[in-house]
Amino acid sequence: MGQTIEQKLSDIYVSNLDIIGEGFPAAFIAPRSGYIENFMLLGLPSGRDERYLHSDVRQLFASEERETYFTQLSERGEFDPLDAIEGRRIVVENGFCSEQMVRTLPDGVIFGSLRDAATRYEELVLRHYNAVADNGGDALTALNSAFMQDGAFLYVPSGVHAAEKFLIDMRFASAESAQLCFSRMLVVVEDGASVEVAVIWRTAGDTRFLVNGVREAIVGRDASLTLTEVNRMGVGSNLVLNGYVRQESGSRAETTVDELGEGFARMGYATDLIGRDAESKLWGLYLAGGEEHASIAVEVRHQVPSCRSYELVKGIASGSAVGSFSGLVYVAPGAQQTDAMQQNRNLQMSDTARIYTRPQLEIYADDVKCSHGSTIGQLDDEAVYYMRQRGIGEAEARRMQLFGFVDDIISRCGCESLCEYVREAARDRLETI
Amino acid sequence: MLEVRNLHATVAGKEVLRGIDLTVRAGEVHAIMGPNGSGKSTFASVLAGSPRYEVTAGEVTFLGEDLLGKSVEERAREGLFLGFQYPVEIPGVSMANFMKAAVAERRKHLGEEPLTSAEFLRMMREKAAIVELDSKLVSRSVNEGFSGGEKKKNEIFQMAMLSPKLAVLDETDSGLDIDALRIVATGVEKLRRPDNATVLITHYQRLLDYIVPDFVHVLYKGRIIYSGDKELAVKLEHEGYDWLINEHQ
Repeated sequence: MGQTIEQKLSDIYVSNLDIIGEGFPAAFIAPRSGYIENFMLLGLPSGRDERYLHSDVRQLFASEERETYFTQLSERGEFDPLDAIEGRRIVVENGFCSEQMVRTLPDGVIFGSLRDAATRYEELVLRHYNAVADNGGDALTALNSAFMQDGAFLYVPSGVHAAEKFLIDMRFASAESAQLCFSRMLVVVEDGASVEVAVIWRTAGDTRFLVNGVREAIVGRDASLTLTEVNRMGVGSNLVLNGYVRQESGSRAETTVDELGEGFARMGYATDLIGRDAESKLWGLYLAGGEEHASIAVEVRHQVPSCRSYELVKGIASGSAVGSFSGLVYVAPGAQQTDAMQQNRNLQMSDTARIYTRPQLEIYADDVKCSHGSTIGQLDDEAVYYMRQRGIGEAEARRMQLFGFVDDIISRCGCESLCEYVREAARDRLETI
Repeated sequence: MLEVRNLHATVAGKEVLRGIDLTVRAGEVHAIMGPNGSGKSTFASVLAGSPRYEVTAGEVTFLGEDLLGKSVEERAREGLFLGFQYPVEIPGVSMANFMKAAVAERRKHLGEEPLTSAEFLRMMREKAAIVELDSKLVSRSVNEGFSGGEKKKNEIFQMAMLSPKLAVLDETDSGLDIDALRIVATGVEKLRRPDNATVLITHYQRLLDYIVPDFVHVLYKGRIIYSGDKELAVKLEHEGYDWLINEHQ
């Protein structure tokens, strides 16, 4: 009694120490106690924390999901094989890589289980793992680093333009009524290399999942990473994701995120630009209806001069759903010739839907070009009338307008087969919005 | 084709149409002129079914059926086309998808088979040529980033795509330079057929240099106060409306 949620999570950690680090070399186990201490010190973020603006994560961890965790996929749910989407699969079930092994392709690309990679390529993984995750400043990242037991690993060696695309299939299915999972990803694109990665989050059955996800991506000099992330988790799912990208000079990273989940999702994207002429682009979309909660948080840190960053995040909220955007562009002292643009546009479809938006700039250099802005509006009735005058029914006119609003983001997807998948999913979602 | 009897309409409680009577038969071109604020655009919007106006009295029959009880889209599907004075931009909706949906509805209403993609694209190309609309514009979002002239050409292009029975063109000539005006007017002329009709709403006589109307009506304070033939337009251009208004009062 009187125990805080943090203490309860810490107790779970302590009483399962033996299982948690299983299969990892000692070097991956030793730092974990430090991470759990960080977590205790930081405490779960409240909805007032800028990085979790209006996303009450505390509340999530107070619920019963945390009673059951680190269970491998016990119920193999029905999952669409997604045959239409091209690319090598890395299937991760409840946080565990289903193949339990890493594989190496002829071009030297390594992909598969993060745990297995930590054993087979210990030095390589150690060099990058937890190199960019904010274990000292973000409680949920620290919690993930303490608890994680496996995940997805993708490594593209120097100068290699990966011949194939990769699809990280983040699946969740369980016979339990509620379950807590930790999902982890590490993507390393070495100097001069390039790769396209898709991440799809999805659930089967009616288990209530609380997923704490962390992804680290390291993009080397003149390297390129194209990442498309789609959340399609079902009703009762809760996803709290912290994605970290570190970009070296001349690198490019382009992220598209389509938040189409039917539960609660808070998806965070933090990018550190540490080498000159690095470019980061992010296109985001959230659709929230009914009682759903959809939030995208973006943070770009220009640490050095002459980098560019662009973000455009669009959202639609209907019913009594909550949509939220929180964005920060930070320009470090001396990071001159920074070119940064941040935009958030929203459609509010009902009086009871809520949209929160907070674009922010924090600039410590004086020769920079930074712009930011946000809008919240309704569907344009004049446009609906115009379309009806051409014979298009009112419902269809609204649908076409909504779809037009979102397709702007969807069409930025890495590849056409993926775009088509996301389009279909978005169309489904728009029917209910 | 169109019978308007004693049409009254209000906007925000204010009466803006005060008893319009007009008969349009197939093959005819009518011009409706009048000073600013006389109710010309309102009349066009009421025919199209704009939710902004309330019809308080009168009746309108279109192709032998009551028009006023029908929704905006039903009127359009039956072949009533309104060329907007200020065409609306619809970001994210491509002209091609917009027209595909609109043409499909019109064809469905006429009991015609849907067009194949190839047929549709051919039709888009042919109709765009009538108004010299840059084919690149057709792949863009509806009216987004179109110049004033391109927007008006786009209205006539849509009219060509939908081949309406009755086209009401609301100040399609305003804001056009002389070349664009010629193209738009020629487009309308090319689309003239014995079985369709056109109502041109215009402030200036210059459009009528290109499209010769069978009838010219002067609308003033929500009523047609005078009707004549094409000579009336010329007289109005030279002498203004004052002589008519004075006569009327």
